Amino acid sequence: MTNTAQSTSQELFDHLDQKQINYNKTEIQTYLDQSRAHPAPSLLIAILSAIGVLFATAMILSTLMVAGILNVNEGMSFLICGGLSLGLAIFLSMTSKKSDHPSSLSQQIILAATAVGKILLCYWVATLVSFKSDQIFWALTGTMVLLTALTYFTINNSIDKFFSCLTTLVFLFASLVYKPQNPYLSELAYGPLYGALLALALWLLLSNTIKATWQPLAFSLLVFTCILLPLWPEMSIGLHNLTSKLTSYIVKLCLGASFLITAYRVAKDQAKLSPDLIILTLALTIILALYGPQNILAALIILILGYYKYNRSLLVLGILSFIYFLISYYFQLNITLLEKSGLLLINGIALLVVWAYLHFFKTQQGESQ
Amino acid sequence: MSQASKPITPNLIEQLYHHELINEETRRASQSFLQGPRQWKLWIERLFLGLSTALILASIMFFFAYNWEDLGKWLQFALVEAAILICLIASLFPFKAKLINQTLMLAASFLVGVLLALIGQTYQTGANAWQLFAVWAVVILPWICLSKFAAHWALWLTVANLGLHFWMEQTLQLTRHETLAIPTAHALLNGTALACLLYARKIFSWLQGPWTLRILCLAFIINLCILSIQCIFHPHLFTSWPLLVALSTIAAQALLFYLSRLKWQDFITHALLIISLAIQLETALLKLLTSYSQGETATLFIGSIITIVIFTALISYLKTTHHKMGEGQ
Repeated sequence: MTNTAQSTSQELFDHLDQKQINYNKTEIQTYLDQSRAHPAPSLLIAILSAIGVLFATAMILSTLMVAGILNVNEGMSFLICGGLSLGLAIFLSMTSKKSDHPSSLSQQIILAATAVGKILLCYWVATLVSFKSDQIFWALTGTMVLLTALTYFTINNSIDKFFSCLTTLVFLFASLVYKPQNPYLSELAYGPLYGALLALALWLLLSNTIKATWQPLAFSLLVFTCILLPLWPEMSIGLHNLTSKLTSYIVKLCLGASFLITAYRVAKDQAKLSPDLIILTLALTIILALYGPQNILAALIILILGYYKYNRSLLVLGILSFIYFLISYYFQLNITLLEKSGLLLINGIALLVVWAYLHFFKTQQGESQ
Repeated sequence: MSQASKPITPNLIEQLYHHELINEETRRASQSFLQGPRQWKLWIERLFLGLSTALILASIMFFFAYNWEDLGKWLQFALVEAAILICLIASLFPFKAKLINQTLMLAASFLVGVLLALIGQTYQTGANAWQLFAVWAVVILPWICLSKFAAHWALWLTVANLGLHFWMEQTLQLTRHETLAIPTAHALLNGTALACLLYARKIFSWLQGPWTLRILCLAFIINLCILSIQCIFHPHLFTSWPLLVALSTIAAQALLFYLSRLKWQDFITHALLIISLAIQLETALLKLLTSYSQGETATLFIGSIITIVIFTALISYLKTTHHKMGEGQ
């Protein structure tokens, strides 16, 4: 029997009993009762919490700058605000009770603060590689904001996991986009490394296994150190000022070490992962990462993850952003309107053929069976 | 309602799995029970149909925007008209899924706009943009009534809003002090549409989806918010009929508050209204602050405190309301 989202827990228990599946009814019932006492936050509340933290940190920083207490540039202000937000999140996660329900207020503030921190750090990283081009800056930040939204809604309160994945993805996108212009990043030979690390990051995103212990905190600090390293030794915000080979080696070493630790922890619980979907997602992602525009890729990841996580909010976010980025991609393509028209028509017909196959052929097959 | 018979969602199953209260087998069995393959197939089909229609219509629009002279004006007209006819005739075919007929009618309505633009482009009629939208809205109205498709009505309302906007902008030649008239007209149009929808929902089942109400409410709330902000920034407009507009805005928002919170019990609509009210409050307070401030630092400092307080109050109110609405359902 296929049911709608409005099925009751009793119906579900009956279905599981009928299928002779083992489960602990009392534990599940207790958790469900708690969930009803703390209903999961609406998408709107979560977004508003994030905007609230963002406004607050930005306005406090502006006050300090106008008062002459602080004198920093745009990139550094992103870094300070992001650091403050993440600091708040880490402080709260250390002081809050472990038994707190994921929907409790403290847990939601942690989520909001980490989301804001991640967005700001991504902006900061974007400013590092965009000192020559505004377009790159916006392309990167658009992607990063989407990815941050994705991380925010997918995982239940795990600061380290997404922080690490996201910052890595930022680095990878940044390096890919900026590689031709930036001798420092091209020196790292990110090209082939990109696909492999992106796959690993996605693997982490898809897993449900990483728990909040001291290890993730250390891991977060390690990745954070990796981001801070480009500032050393000249304390300059621009990567173009860096020539030291030592810095390059340290960055490689830290990134490598941090991923090894995470990979080990994920590998311990491999059984929980769904291999077929992960393989499909990774294949699609890598193909698109290498040949497609990054914004569309980010939207597609959200769409696939929304499907995987059975999360309607993610699905809506994925569809809307996919359509938006697809339109803006075609709009910005440097070809004539006639060529654009042809390209759109081909894509439209291709999708229509897939739809017709699913609708007519598959329905007939189902009926004949 | 007993605890065990309360609704359960796929997201709750994911949470149970995350907290290791169920294993992979139970998770899969539960998810397939709650959202089986048939639901997903339906969803993917709808997504593909929608995307492919949008891409093909966009390609037709780009094709005529290119204004390919070699094609000749008769062939251009013949192509668009043929496309409209094909869509209309095909929409009469008894497909199993009604959505196909409705999508074809929607495509035909969109193509009418392309045809009108083509007429304007070919004959250089000198007509204003509002005339195109007005004719478009009138011509497609009969199909829209027949299609029984909420998305089709959304297209019509967008065209009507655009027509109204361009008409006021291009023909009325409003002075700076009369600009309040444009958001007022939009608020009136969308408010009337909302009232019609509320009445029609009782009769037509195809209008009962929550998103139809939410989209219209969003349009209405945005117009009311713009009106309020204009009133805050231009207090000198508070004479005669603008005063009436300001008072009506407050009354409309109060009515929406009552309906969304108590009558419809729709959290999304209620949250949108509350966000709009918070924006209006923040604007009013910041306007007051800049009028009486002693320096930039003090303004920013007090502004940050006001922002934090408003956002905290907003989130805390929404959380409480969400909780209460969840309990009530």
